[in-house]
Amino acid sequence: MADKKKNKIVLMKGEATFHYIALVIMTLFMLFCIVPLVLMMTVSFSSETSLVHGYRFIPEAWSLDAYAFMWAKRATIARAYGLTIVVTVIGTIASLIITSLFAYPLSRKDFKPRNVIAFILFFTMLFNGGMTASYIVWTRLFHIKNSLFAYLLPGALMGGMNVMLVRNYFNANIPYSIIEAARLDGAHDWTIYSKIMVPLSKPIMTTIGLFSALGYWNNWTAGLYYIGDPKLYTIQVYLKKLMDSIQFLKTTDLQDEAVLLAQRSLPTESARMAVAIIALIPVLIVYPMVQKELIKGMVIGGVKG
Amino acid sequence: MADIRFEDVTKIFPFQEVTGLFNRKQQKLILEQQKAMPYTSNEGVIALQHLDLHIKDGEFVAVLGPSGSGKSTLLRLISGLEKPSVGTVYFDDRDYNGVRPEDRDVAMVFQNYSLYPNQTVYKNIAFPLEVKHIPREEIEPEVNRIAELLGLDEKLDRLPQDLSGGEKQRVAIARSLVKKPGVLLLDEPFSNLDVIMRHKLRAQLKKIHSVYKTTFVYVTHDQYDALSLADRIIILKDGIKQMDAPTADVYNYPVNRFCAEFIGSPVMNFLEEIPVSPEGYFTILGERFKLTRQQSKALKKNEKITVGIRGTNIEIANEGIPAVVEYPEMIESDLIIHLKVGDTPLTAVEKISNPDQIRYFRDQEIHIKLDQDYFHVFNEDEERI
Repeated sequence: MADKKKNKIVLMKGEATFHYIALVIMTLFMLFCIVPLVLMMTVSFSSETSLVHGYRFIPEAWSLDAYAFMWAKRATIARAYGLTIVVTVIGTIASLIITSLFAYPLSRKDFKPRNVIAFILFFTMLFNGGMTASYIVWTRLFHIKNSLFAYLLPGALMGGMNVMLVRNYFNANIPYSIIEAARLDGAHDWTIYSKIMVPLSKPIMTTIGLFSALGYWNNWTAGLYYIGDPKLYTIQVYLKKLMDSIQFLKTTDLQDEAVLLAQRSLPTESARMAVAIIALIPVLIVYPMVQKELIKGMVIGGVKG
Repeated sequence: MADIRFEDVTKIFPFQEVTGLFNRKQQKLILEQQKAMPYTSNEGVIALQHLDLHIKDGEFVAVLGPSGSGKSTLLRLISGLEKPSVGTVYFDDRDYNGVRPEDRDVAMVFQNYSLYPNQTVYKNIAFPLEVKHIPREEIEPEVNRIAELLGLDEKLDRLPQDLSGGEKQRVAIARSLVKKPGVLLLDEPFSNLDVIMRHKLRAQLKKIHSVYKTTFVYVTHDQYDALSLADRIIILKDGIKQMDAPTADVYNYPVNRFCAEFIGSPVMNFLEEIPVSPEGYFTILGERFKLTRQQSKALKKNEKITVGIRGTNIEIANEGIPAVVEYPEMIESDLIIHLKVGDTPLTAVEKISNPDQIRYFRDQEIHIKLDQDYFHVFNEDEERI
C-alpha cells in the first residue's frame, strides 16, 4: 500500500487539467471512429425491413440475408477480392520502391539539384492538371483503360507527401556520417540505399506502406474512370457498382409484380454494409500488426521539415 | 599504400542561406556566426587556406588544432568527402580532385563511430569486403583475424547497440582496417571514450600501425594523443598551417607562441613584453639573461620579447628566485605547483609517484631556478627567434 502511494505520479494542477481535457477529446475522437464501424456491423446483420425505421445499434430483427446475398455472389466477390489483393500488394511494393528511391537522392547533401527537384515535387502536391487532362494522358498516351495499370499508375504509385516523409526520415534519423562511412567503405549509391537506408527505415517504410496499401485497397475512383470490364473490378469498385445497381432497382418504377417482389426482399442497406465489412477485414487484420512502427514512422517522419 | 600531397589547397564553405518562412532567426544567427569567423571571403567561410602538405607513405601523422581550425576539413579533403575550392590533392602524384571517396583507397574512423546499427559486429567489419564482392570464404578468416587483433572475437554476433563506447570504436577501427586501405583517417576517434579506454586504444592503435604500416592521419584536439602516437604533427589554426614537424620538435621548438601554448600541459608560462638592451640583455623575475647572437640578430631595434618556459623546466631549489606557493595540484603522476613570483603567476611541474610525496602547501615560501637553455623566445609577431 505504502509502495503504491510512493509510486503514484503526482500531477501539477495545470497538468491534471490538461490530462482530463485530453482524455475527453481523445475519447470523443475514439467514439467518432468506432461508432460508425459498430453501426456498420450491426446494420449488416439487420433484416432489411427493420431498417426502414432507421439504423440501430441493436437490430430490431437479426438477419443473415445480406451475407447470404454475398454468398450467392461469392464467385464475383472472390475474384474482386483477389484482384484487390494483387493490386494492393504489387502497388504497395512498387510504391515503396519508387518513393524511397526518389527520397534517397533528395536526402543527400551532395546531390546538387535536390532543391529544384524537391520544389517540382512539392509543386505537384499543390497543383495538378486536373481530372480531364489526367484522363486523356492516361488513356490516350499510356492506354491503361481496362487494364490492371489503371489501378496502379494514376496518382497512386508515388505521392509527393510520401516522398517528403521518407526524405525527412532519412535526414532526421540516419546520421549522414553513416552514409559517408559506407562511401569510404567502398559502397556505391545502390548498396547504400539497399543495405543501409532501407533496412534502417522500417518505421517510415511501414507507415508509407500502410498508407499506400490503404490507398490501393480503397481505390474505387480508378475503376470508375478507367475500368469497364466487370472481370477487372476490385472489391471497392464492385461495392460501388453494387450500390449503384441497388439504388437503380429501388428508384426505378417497375410494373412487373415478380420483379417488384424481388426488389422488396432484396437486402439493400444491409448488403452495402456487409460488402463494406468484407472489404474492411484485411485492414482490420493488418493495422494492429504494424501499428507500433506506423506511429513511430509518423512521429519521426514529421519531425524535421 | 599512399603518399598524399596537398598543393596550395584552399577550402571555402558557402555561407548558410536564409530561406523559407520558418527558423529564419536561427538561420540568421548561424550566418552571423559564420561571417564573424576569422577568415571569410565573399562566397563563404575559409576553412583551410593555401595549404601545402606532404604525408609520406606509411607515416603516422597527427593533425592538431583547436575547434574550427580546419582539422576535419583536411581529413575530409583527403577522403574525398569534400573537394578543394582551389588547389590539388595528389595521391602518389596522381591528381585525386575528381576521384570519389568510394573509389579512393582510403578508410576513415569517425568520432561518433558511424557503425551500421542494423548489422552485427561481424557484418559491420565484413561490409567493406562484401561491397567489393570478395568471396565469403575469404571474408570470414579476414574478419576473424582483425577481430582477434582488436579483441572483438567474442562480440561478433552482437549489434552495435549492445556494445560499450570502446568496443564500438574498436569495431569502427576493425571495419576501416579490414580492406587494408592505403590511408587510414582517424577523426578524433577517442574523444567519446573514458581515460582508461583511451590509454588502451592508443596502445592498440600504435600496435596496429606497426603491423599494417599504412599511412595514418589522425585528427585530434588532444595533444596527448598526438604526442604519444604520431611520428609527425601538423598544427592548424584558423585554417592556416602553423607548424609541420616531427613530434619532438613540435614540443621542444614551437615555431610560434600559438604552438608553444597549444602543446604541453600545463600550458607554458609566458613572461611578456620584456625589453632587451642593445647588447641583448634582458631581465625576467629579477634575474638577468642574455640572448644568443642569433636571437639578437633576429630581433628588431627596441623590440620587446616574450619568454616561454615550460613548467617542467622550472626547478624548485633551495636558493634562487623567491616564490610563494598558491596551491599544489596532482594530475596523474605530475604535481603541478601554482606559484607567484611577485605578481607573476607561474606553474612548475614535479614528478611524484603518490600523493604522500606532496611537500608543498598554500603560502609556502620556496625558491625556483630558471635555465636559459629551455627558454622559448618570441618576438612581437609571436614568432620564435
